[in-house]
Amino acid sequence: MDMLILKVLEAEPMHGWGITKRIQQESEGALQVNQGSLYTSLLRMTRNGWIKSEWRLTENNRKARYYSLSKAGKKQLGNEEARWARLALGVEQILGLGKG
Amino acid sequence: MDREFRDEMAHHLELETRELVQNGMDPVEARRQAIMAFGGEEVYREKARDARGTRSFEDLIQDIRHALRTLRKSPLTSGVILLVLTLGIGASASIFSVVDGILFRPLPFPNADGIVQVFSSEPDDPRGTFSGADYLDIVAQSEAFQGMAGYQTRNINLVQETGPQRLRGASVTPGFFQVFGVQPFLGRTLSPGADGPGQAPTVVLSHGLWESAFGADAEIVGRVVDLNYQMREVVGVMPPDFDYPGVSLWTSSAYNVPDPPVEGAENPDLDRGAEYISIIGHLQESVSIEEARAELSLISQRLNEDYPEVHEGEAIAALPLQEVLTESIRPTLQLLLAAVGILLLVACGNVANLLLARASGRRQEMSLRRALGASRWRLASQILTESTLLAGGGGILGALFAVGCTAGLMRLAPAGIPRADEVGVDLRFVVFATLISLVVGVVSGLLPALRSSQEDGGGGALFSGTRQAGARGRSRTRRALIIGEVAFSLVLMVGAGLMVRTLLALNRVDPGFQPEQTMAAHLFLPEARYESDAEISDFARRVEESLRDRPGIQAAGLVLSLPIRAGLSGRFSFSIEGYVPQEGNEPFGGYQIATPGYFEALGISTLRGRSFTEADGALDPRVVVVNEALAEAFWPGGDPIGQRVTWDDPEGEDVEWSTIVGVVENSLQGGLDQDPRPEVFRLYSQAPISYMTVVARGEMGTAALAGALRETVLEIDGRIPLYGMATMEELLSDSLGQRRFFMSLLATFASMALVLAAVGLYGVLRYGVSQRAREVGIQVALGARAGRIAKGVVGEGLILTLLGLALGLALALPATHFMSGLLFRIHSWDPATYLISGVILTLVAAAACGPPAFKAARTDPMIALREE
Repeated sequence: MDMLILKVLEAEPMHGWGITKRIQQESEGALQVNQGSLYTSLLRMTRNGWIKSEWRLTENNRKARYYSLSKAGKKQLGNEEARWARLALGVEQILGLGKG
Repeated sequence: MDREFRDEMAHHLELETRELVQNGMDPVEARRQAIMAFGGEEVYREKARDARGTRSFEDLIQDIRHALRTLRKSPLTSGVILLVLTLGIGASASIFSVVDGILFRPLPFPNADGIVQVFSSEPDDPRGTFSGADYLDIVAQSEAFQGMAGYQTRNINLVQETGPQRLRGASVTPGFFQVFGVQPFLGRTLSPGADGPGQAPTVVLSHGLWESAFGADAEIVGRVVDLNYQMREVVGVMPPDFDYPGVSLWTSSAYNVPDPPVEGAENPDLDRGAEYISIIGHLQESVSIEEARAELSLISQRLNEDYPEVHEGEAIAALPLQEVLTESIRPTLQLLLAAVGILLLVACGNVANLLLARASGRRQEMSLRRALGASRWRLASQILTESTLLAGGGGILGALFAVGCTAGLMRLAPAGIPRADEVGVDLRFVVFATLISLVVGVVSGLLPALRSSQEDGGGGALFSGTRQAGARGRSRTRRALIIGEVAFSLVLMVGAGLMVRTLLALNRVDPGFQPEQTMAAHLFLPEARYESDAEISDFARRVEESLRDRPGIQAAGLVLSLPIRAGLSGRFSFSIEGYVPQEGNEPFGGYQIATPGYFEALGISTLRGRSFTEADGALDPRVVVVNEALAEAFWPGGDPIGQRVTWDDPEGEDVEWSTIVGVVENSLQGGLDQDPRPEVFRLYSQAPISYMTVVARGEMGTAALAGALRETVLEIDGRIPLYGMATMEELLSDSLGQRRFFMSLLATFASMALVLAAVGLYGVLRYGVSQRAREVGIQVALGARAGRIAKGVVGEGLILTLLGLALGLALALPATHFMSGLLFRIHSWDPATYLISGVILTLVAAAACGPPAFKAARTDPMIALREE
């Protein structure tokens, strides 16, 4: 979850609902985002210093909280992406073994 | 904060609703759907609060409940951890309290810090006493003390209508009580104005004596009592805790110094020859003990210069009273402290091990919870709760155990332990030990959990790959801990083994007499009633004859000082006729006095010549008997019989020579571990002293023997009490008391450490087995025999044990060196002891490997592989 959020925010700062929608869009519906987990993640990552938040006005002139990536967050994203790649490789190998 | 969050939620909801409406949903329905997708604000608010890290009381309760549930799920592990903590904390707290009470706690006097005992110090008598004139000079010339007093302990007969009673008392200078700063319970203490020379003799009673002999009579002050046939007025009673120097009463002196032990001679105030006074002083506020020592050393030099004949080579030493009282037992207690420290380490190591193993197994659970959104803090605090519960439980149980343990220890303790009544369980240490366990528990439970939760935030640990890698690192710590535990167990076992063998060796020593069916008791004749030599020797003769005539008594006699019990007989130099000694080689011998029946009563055999007979009752010819050690020392290879010795100056007039008529076997003085002392035996009929020990041998049983002794003496003189009645067997056994106590303690520790190490080993192996169930399952599936697998596990365990033994050997050698003082006829590096300890440890370890090996061998590959 953390990784997905960070990835989305890498592109541009966004508010919570926007992040949800983007993840669902990009994964073509494969990943359904649980709102509770989303906000918990957001809060945790804010405390860790990986993302920052500020209140802004949306297009509709509503107040909304926008999240953006911090430098530490960018580094974290890099780490997470690398680990995910390793993990995926491992899974692939095992699955490959099973088939062969 | 909450409001912002709510705003954010509201905004999100609105956008979600709008999208749904745009997609064609009914607005009300859309709103409902949006809310449902959220799952309820409240839940998220709580989670948000959680993530923010604010804890509330309900969370704490929930944590505790969850922790209890987890602990109960693995009752064996939790129970073992609790047991280990209880034993470790309890035993350590108990020993620490004992040691603290005896060694460290300040004496119960107001002036405790500054009380110093002053000794006259010579090469072979480092804790010597002073003469009257010396005492007065020291007091006069010293400015380092704000109060100084002299005292001398002696036996005192208290005679009341109920009969005579022998007590231990002290003759003191009037300033004695001021040194301690203790106030009297009733009446007053002695004071220079009222209780000095020329004034009526007075006495101060101890609280205990006041209760036991005077029925706590409130009117006691002013009454007159009969002490050693002298009437003294009671001027005060001391409070319950005070009885220094271990006496029941304190008497005033007729001089400026304490009364001399032997009446007659000159005024002790002026005499420099007879040394009998102990000095105690209270340092000035601003003076340190080093400064006092410097001053005393100057005074000593001056005395040496002014009176070279009596003061050749003497020095003056000063020690804080606290050290003096605990000197003899200090090394034993320090060793005990070390042993306890080791035990606590072993216990903590065990707890750490068990917790590490458990934490390791929960990494999967932890990672899962992290992936589901639990915060690190929450997980950590849960582990903290568990550790706190365990440590707290162990602390409470340990404290209870400590109380019982301390009580038991003190009851086992031999009688001579100083300050035994001041020992109580020290809560400070229980708290301290509990804190240590808590730290150990937290650290060993937390570290691996935190580490895992940090790196496996995604889903890594869900796969066995990472589990293996991490487990190996963790198990290295566990293995190191086990090796340490085994090592320490070996150290303790070797220590216990050495003590056991020491005691066995001591038991085998031939004391030089036959201790069975023999009983002895002491008495002394106060000068007031028995002044002349004739009266004293007559008394001795009559006691021996009456005892011998009693039915059932096989033999009886009297002696000055019994073997084994360090008695009154000192060493005196004597001169051998015709032998001119070289400088520094003057003959020295233990001075003993006996009656003819003594040797037979104790079963001491005559080796050469003869021992005393009835015929030796007269004053002439003077005869003596020597023991083998003395014969060897001064007539090596020759025959001392017929030689003559004297204690007078051989060149002077009226020299009284005594002829050696026999050699008897050595009977050990001072203790079974001492070398035999050269001794000369004189006769009570020829060299009487008013102190005697009566010895009787008979088959009639202990009570009857005691009765016979008592009645005989009372018949002859109804005012002489017997005291210190004991069988010779009891004396022998008591002399080993301290060592035996120490041995029991060490053996207990060693057993506990052994159990702990075995439990730890079992835990580690069993854990390893369950971790590698999958590996083992594959092996079994590939055809490995059960025996091979079991051997693998046992082999692993034995390797750990051997490494531990090696480390233990390295530690034990220097450690047991410190015990050398307590050992007897055995080296601290005795190979047999090490070997046996090592074998026992290995066997126990092998037994601990058994169950895990068994479990591994029975692994069902289907179950094991499926568990993945």
